Amino acid sequence: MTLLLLSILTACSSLFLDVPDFKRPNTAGEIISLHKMGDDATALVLISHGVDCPVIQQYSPIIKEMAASFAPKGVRFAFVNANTQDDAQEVAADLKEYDAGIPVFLDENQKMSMALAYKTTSETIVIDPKTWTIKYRGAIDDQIRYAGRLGKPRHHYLKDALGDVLAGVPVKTPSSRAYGCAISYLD
Amino acid sequence: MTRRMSSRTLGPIFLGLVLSVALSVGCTNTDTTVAAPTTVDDFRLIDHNGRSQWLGALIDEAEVFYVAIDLECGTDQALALMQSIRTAHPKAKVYYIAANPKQERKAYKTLIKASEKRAPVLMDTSLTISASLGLKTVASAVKVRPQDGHITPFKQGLSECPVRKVEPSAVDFKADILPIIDKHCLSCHTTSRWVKIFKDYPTVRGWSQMIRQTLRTQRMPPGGIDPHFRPYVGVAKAEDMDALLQWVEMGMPKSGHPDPFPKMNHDKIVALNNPKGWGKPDIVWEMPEAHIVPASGPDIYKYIQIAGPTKRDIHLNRIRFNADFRVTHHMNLMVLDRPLKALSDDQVFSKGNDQQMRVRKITATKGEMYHDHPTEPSLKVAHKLFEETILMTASRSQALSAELDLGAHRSMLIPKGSYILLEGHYGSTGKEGSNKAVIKIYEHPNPSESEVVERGCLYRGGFKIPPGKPSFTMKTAVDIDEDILLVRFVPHMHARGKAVTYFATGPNKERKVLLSVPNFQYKYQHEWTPEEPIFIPKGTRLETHMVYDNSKYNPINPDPTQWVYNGSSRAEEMHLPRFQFVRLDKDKDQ
Repeated sequence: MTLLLLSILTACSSLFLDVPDFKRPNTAGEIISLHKMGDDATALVLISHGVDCPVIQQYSPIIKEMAASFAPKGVRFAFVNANTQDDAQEVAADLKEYDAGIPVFLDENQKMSMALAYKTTSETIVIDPKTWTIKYRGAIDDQIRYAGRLGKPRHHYLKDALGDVLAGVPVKTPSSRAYGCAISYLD
Repeated sequence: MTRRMSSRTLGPIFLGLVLSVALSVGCTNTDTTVAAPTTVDDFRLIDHNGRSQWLGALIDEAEVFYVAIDLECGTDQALALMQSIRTAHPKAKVYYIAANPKQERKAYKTLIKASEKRAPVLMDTSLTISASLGLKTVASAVKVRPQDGHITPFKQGLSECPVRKVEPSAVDFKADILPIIDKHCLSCHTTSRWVKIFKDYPTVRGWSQMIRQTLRTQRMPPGGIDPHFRPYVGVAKAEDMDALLQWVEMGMPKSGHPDPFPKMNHDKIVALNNPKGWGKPDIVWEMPEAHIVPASGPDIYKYIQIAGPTKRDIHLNRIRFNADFRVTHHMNLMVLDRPLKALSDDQVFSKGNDQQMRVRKITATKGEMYHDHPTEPSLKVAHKLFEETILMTASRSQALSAELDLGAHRSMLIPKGSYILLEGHYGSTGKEGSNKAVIKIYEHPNPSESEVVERGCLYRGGFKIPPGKPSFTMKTAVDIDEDILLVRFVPHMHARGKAVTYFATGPNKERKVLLSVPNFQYKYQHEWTPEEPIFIPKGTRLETHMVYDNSKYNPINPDPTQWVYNGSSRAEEMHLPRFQFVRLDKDKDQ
């Protein structure tokens, strides 16, 4: 059933209406709310996270840099961790080791990630908090692939999508393929 | 505000709404009796010609057809269906897919050759890919949109022959699956190493989709070899990988057994921490300074001289290589006849520098080497067989630890006066790392009685690869003029490397595959040791084909719009079909 729902959600992502609120604990055990995070934000960037995933590890310094450079423009970044095998302590230790400097929603029952139709870690969603619609879904950039890594990215998908959202124009490339660690949705 | 309130309270209803809308607009299959899959996840299969066919590369194809075929039942109907698809969709990419655990490549070669309905026959030996495409009967077809894997059933019911299916009872978790995991997965994925999958059963299940993806796309175990031709040391048998994938596709049933993984994980860590006791090494070489790898950025190459000139001949028997393989893709241990001196990486390994450091020609094996330019169909440019300067490649995919053990009867010579160089290839991991490798050399106790392993390379420089070309093949060949034993294959290409094959054409003119790597993985730089050394009689032509993908379909191509030349930097390419061998006619030794 989970898989059926997931496949329908992903096959029909264009049917996505609006992003509801999600309240999840962070690594300190505090409950954080997606909509509250959007209160004073111009855009939200949600990145699917997993402990021990080499793709997330490699992207961590890149995410840190982007989050810092877009913070003055009101963009907020957060991870969403749906891995059943990652407990809060492991996530905290991983975030300390690979310091992306952004908070995490611990999505223990996987429902937030399922609703957001994440298929893999590193998959990134840009949300416009004025309308709670998804403006971009896909990779951060095209540098890291399963077979290896390009010297530098050819496409800066996330950066470009944020630029369009902040400029109030339609996102030119609203989706791309994300490479990461496939998420297992378990009952 | 209203929107937010409703969203907060209506989370589950929101999901239900999406589901019902999705169903009502027909996002699922209209077949209501059996839930046929609506999408297929990425996969890779070897075809009847030994080529690796990857759905993920077909990003520009509008539609791809898969026709279920079987040699025993419904064969003619499948051929006829292919014919009708080709007529109606002349531009579509088409494949047959044969669900059969038996390798039937020869029979399919004969069938397809005789037929006008030519298309690659994908060897679905695990039977799982046909199932995930929803193919139920032979001579049925599905149409797939490669961009998102969307499946449209195309033709069904042309034959009554069922497509073979996995019997759930065929896979025994304890007897079949655990030994495969122990042998081919655990060494790299214990909790002491990378991607700590095998901590316990819940963790394994948490990684199940990732495991499934790497098996379906044949990324793991690393190497990309076709195990069809002969057994190689450490290489998984095709039937073992099939069983593992079947188990994963079944949802990883534990069949009531207690969780075996904590003990397996623990035992493997103990084994990894206690490598075979080889005693005290005879020589230890250490990098004089560490190579630093920044947290982020492109892959880097660094070179460092660690010894030389050596004062005497060294007859090495074993090497143990300690490096930090979290940041190190691979390191090449090189033996040169000149010091690195002040040569910068750019100077030594510059574009178009054909000879590079492969300066010693192998003189006793006098066979001519030929170059074949794709524009010149015949093998005609004569060349010499070069001695390979790289003594050993230590890569992170060498599971236990980076070791070379030539065995009790063999040794390799590092001649007096050599300079020892390390070439490190590093990749960023998200945090700063460093590598200060230590190499321990164990000499042969009785070199005069050992067989000397030599390193040969059908090196080729001076090539250029056109932009955008998905398959650019370069061929080399050498006529071997004495009896030899081939003991190891060490092919090297860069990011455009796609496939490599070594052939031998014996005096009887029959060409045999010695090694086929149809899915060359640049990242792992594997080397292959046949379980039994391969006897190559005098008069054999040894031939290699290396295929490069300089198109945009190669996901790690640095720039598909550029011509690519010979060179050592990652942006350039190399053509090094290397091999190691022993001469059997001792009198010819110099």
